[in-house]
Amino acid sequence: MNASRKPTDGLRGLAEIDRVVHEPARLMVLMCLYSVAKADFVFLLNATELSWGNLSSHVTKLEEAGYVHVEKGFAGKKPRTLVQLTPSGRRAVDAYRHTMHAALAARRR
Amino acid sequence: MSASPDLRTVQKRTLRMMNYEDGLWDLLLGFVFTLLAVYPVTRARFGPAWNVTLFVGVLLLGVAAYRIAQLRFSTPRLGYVEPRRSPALKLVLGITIALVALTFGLVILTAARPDLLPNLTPSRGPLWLQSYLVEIVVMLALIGLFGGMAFIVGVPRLFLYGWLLGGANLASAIVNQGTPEAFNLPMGLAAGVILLIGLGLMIRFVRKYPARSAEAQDER
Repeated sequence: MNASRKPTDGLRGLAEIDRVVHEPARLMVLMCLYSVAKADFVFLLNATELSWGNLSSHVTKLEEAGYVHVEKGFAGKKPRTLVQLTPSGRRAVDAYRHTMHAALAARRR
Repeated sequence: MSASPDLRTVQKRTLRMMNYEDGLWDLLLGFVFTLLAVYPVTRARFGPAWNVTLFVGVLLLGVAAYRIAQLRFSTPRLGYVEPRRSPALKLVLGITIALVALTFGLVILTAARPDLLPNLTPSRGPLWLQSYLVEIVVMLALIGLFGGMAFIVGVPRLFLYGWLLGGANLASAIVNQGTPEAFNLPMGLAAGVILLIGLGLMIRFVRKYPARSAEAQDER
């Protein structure tokens, strides 16, 4: 980018980026959930390749932010934890994508 | 990880994981085309009506076995996932199902009742084209269908399947000419290759995704 140029709106948007979404591990979880209706913990583990503890803590943070809904149940006799993106989580991912795309587009100008 | 999220890549990867990593889909496809390979033999033995009944019955059994295997074999290893039914996905699914039905219908018709097909033979042009126009059309349809699927879901081997099955259909028309009751060897070979690939994928899947214990899930 030309250094003499002022930061554009696209770049300024990065300062206000949602840090709950921006963390790479959480972003992976959100992106995975974005393309499915709901997924269980095992699927998220395989898709993100995070450890159990790591995934669990990130899902808890996303749940606290209201971006995912966690539903505990049973599949037969086995416990199953289903995770689903909430409408506000979907909006947060969309906003994040928009901000990133705008910033990258601004850099190209 | 890239800072710029590419949703399409993530969606393709999720779709691949959901449907094409365990090798079950390949085994089902190989099984269906094995049925088509033995179709002429069973037709000569049982007659057309019973053969269709047998074919549909065994096909349904195969599909049921596929679903059970998904639930008992794949889900414990890969995890449970419910696909999101967006309008675009519904449209793609609808078109794919229609194309699959059309292609399979044409394959069955060319194998079982070629006389029912409209006479598309051109009166002019090279002899090979005049003789095998329907098979060539089916081959192109299969290559197009599987090539499209390969592109949409990002699974290149589906493109190979299109060539294998389309080529086998054309080859069987040439090889089995005059012996319509014989085993469809090209189709059988193509199905065998697909079954082997499916088996290889299944072995890789079992190694890559060991079954997770319920205790581990309780950690959450």
